[in-house]
Amino acid sequence: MRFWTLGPYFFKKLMFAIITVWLAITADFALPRLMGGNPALALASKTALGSPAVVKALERAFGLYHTSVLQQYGDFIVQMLHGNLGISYEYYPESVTQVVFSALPYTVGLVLSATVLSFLLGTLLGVVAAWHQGRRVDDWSVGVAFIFFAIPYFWLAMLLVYVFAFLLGWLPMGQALPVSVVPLPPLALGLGIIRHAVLPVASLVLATAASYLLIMRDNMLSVLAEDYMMLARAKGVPNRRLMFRYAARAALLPSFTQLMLSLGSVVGGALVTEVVFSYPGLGNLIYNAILNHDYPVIQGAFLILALSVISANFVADLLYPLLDPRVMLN
Amino acid sequence: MPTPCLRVVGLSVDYPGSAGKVYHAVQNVSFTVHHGEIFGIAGESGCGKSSLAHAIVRLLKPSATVASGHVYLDDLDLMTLNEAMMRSVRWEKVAIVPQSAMNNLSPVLRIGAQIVDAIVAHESTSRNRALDRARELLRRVGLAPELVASYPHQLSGGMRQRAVIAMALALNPQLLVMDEPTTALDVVVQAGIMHQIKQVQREFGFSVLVITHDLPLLMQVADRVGIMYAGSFVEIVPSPVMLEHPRHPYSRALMQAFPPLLGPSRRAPSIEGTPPDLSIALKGCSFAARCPEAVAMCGVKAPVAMSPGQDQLVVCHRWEEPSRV
Amino acid sequence: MAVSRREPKGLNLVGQCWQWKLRYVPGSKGTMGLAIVGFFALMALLATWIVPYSPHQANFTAWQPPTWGHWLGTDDYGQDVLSQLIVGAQASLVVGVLAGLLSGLIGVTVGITAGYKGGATDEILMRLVDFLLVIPTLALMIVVSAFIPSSGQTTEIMVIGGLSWLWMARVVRSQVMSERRRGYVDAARVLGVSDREIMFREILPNVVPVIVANMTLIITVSILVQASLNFLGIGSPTAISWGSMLSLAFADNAIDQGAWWWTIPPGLCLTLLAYGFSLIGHAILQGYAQSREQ
Repeated sequence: MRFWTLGPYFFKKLMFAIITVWLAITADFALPRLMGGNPALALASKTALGSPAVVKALERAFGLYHTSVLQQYGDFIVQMLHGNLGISYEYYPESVTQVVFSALPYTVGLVLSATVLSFLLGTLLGVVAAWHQGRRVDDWSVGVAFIFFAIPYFWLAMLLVYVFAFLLGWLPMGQALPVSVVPLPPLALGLGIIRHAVLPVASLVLATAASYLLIMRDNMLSVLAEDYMMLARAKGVPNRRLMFRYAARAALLPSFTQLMLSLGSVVGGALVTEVVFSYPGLGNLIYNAILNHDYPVIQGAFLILALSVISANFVADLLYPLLDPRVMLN
Repeated sequence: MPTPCLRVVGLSVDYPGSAGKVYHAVQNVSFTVHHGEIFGIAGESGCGKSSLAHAIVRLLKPSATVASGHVYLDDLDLMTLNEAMMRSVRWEKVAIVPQSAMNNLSPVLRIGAQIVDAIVAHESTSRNRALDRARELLRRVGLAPELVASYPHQLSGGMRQRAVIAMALALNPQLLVMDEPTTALDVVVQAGIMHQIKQVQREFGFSVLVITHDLPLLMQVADRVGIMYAGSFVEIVPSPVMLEHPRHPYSRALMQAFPPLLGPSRRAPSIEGTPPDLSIALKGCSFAARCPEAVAMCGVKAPVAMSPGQDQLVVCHRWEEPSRV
Repeated sequence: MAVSRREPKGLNLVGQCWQWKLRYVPGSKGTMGLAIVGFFALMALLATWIVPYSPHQANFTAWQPPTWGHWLGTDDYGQDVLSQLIVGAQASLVVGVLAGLLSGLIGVTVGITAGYKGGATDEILMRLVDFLLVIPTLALMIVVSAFIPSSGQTTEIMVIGGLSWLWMARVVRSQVMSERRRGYVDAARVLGVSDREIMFREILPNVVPVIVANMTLIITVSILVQASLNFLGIGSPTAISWGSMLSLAFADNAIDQGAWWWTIPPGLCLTLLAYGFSLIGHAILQGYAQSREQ
C-alpha cells in the first residue's frame, strides 16, 4: 500500500481536526459568557446564594476577576493545556478533570460498542433490504425502521428496563458495576460489567440501527443500478459475492462517511440513555451537574465530550483510505 | 461453406410505453453470424440495435420482453433455457462487452479480481491460477499484465474498455457481442481497439457481433455489415460490397453521414427527418417518409426482403435499379 | 403535467385538498402521516375543551391504574394522566413545528447562499456546518440550555431550531448546485437579474419540495430532541409536555411501581407523532423523485 501518497489527505484532515478543536474550546469558553452575561451572577441567582462574597468567589472560579475577556480567554487556554478545568462544586475538592475523566470511560465504552453493533446490524439489514427491493423483506425492514427512527431514545430505554429488568428480572435496572461488599474476582467483575451494559447498549443499538439501515439501503439501491453490477451478474458471479463484494463494498463508502457524521447524535442519545440507567458516564454527570448547578463540571464535561468526538472522527478519517481505493491511490 | 455460429430467427422485442402503448423495438429480425466471422450492425440511435444485442444474451431490462423468436447458438436455442442454464452458457459460449460510456468495472475491486471472478464462476480452478490467466488475457488485448493489481480509476477510458474485453474473452466464448464498444472514446483510441479486436479474433477464431453507429469504422473491421432501421434490417452485405455499392437509400445516407477519416474533409450531410414511431404499425416502407428516392408505391406497400447474393439481404422496392448517387 | 387545469366552479374544499394531497404527499404512507399529524393537531387545538379534568388538578387518589373515571389512571401527585397527555400535545407540536421552521429558515438561507455563491463563501459556510456536525448537537443544546438564565418554550425553540439546520443546509446546497448547472440560471444572469433575485425567485421555487420534506424531517427530530431535553429537566418548567411527564414518571420511580399507564402513553404519543411527520417527509420526497423522473 502506498501510504506516502496520502500525505496531503492526512494533512487536510489534521488541519480540520485542529481547527475543530480550537472552535470547540472557544465555544466552551464563550458559552457561559454569551448566555448569561456574568455567569457567576447567573449562577449565584440560580442557586439562591446571591451574597457578594459568593459572587466574588464564583467569579474567581470562572477566571472572570477584573480581567479583560481576551485575558480570560488566554488564561482559559493555558489552564486547559495544563489539564486544569476548574473545581467541581458538588464533588469539592475534586477537580473537574478528575470527575470528568472518571466518567469518560463509561460513555466511551457505551458509545463505541453501541455504534459498532448498530452499524453492523443496520448495514447488514440495509444490504438485505435493498437486495430484495420491493419484496416483503424490504417492505418490512423499511416499515419497522421508520417506527424505530421515531422512538425517543430514553423512552425505548425505559421500556427495556420495564420489560427486562422490572417484569422479567433478567438484567439489572441500572448502574454499571455489580454491587458487592468483597472485591469480586476479575471474571465475575467482567461478567457483571457486561450484564449491566446489555440494556443501555441494546437501547442505543435499537434506536440508531434504523438510520444506518435506511442509509445503507439507499446507497445500495444506487449501486445496484450501476452498469458494473449488470456486467458482474452477466459474467456469472454468484449472488452472495455480487451482493457483498460488488454491491455492499461499494455502498459502504458513503455509509461510512455518514457513520462518522452521525457519531455526534449517537453521543447525544447515549447521554440521555445513561440517565435512564443511572449509568455513571458523562451523561449522568452532566444531568446531575445541571440539577446541582455545578457549572464547571457542565463546561468541562462538554469540552471533553467534544474533544473525544473530534478525535474519533479524526481516527475514522485516517482509516477511511483503507476502505476506498480511490482516496488511497489518488 | 461457412457454418453458422449464431442464428437469430424472427426475433421481436417489445417495450411498454405510456398509456398502454407498446414499442416494437426489434421487429421480426432474422440473420446469421458464421464461425470466425465479424458481423457488424449499424444504425441511428433508437433503431433497436442495442435491444437486439441484449436480447441475444438475454440481458434485456426487466420491462422489455422478447415477443417472439429464437436465438440459436450452434444448435442450442437460448430462448428456451432456464435462468440457471443461461447463466452458465453466458460467458462460456457467448460474452458481452457493453457500451464504453458506461462504468463497466467495479470501482472497489482490482482489475485482476474482476477477471478472476468471471473465470472461477464457471470453472473449478484456483484464484491464483485464474489470476495468471487474467494476466495473459490483459496481454492479449494489448495491456500490461501488471495491471491486474490496478483499480479501474487508475486506467484511462480506453484501457478500461480493453480490460472489459479481456474479461469477456476470459472463457474463450465462441461469440463475442459488443454493444457500441468504443463509442465514448476518442477516434484514435477507437480505431486502435477495433483493430486489436480483429487481430485477436483472427488469432483465436471466435465470432464477433459488433454494434455501432459509426459505419465507416465498422467496415474497416467487419466481414459483413447489417444496416438496421426502425427495428429491422434494411440491408445485409459484405463490407466491400457496402463500400462500393450500397443498395438501400438509407445505407447510402448513413455512409455519407460520416466524413472520411483520411482525405479531404467535407461537410457531412445529415439525414433529414426522424425515424417513425415504433408503436404504430406502418403501411409501407418504414424509411419512405425520409427517403429521397421514394416513389408512390413506397408509402403504400411494404417492400419484401430480397437476396442479391449468398448471405445478403436488401429490403427496398427499387433495389435492382442502378445506383442513383 | 397540466398545472392549471380549469376546475368546475363550486368544487368543494375537501376535494381540492385531496387533489393537493395526491400531488404533493402521494401514497398510502403519506395519507397515514397526514392523518396522524392531523389527529394530534386537533387534540392540541381542542385540548381545553376535551380534557376530562384540569391537567393541574391534583386531588385524586395517586397511583390509580386505568378506571372509568380516569381512562389512563393517575400519577403520584394524583393528577389525571389522560388530561396531561392531551395538553402535552401542544408543547410537542408548537416547539417541534416552530423549531423546524426556524431551522428551515436558517438552513435554506445558508444552503442557497453557499450553493449559489460558491468559492470562499461556500467554503467558510460549509466548514462551519462540518464543524457543528462533528460537535454532539444534543450535548451542546443541553449545555446551552443549562447556561441560559431564562427558560421557556421560546428558549427551547431558539436552542433546538438554532442548532438543527445543518442537514438542511447541506441538502439545499447540493440541490442548488445541481439547479445552477441548468440553463435557466445562466439565462437569468445574462439578462442582468440580480444574484438575490436569482437565488430566491428562480432557484428557490425549484427546490421547495426538497425543503418542505426536509423540514418535516427536522420537525420529527425536533420533537424527539425537545422530549429528551424535557426528560432531562431542561426547558419550560411549567408547561406540561410528554417529555416532562416521562421525566416526572422516571424520577418518581413509576417503572418500579409498575405504573405502565403513566410511562407508556406519553412515549407512544411521541413516537406516533414523530412517525407521522417522517412519513409525510418521505412521501413528499418520493413524489418529488417521481415527478423528476418524468
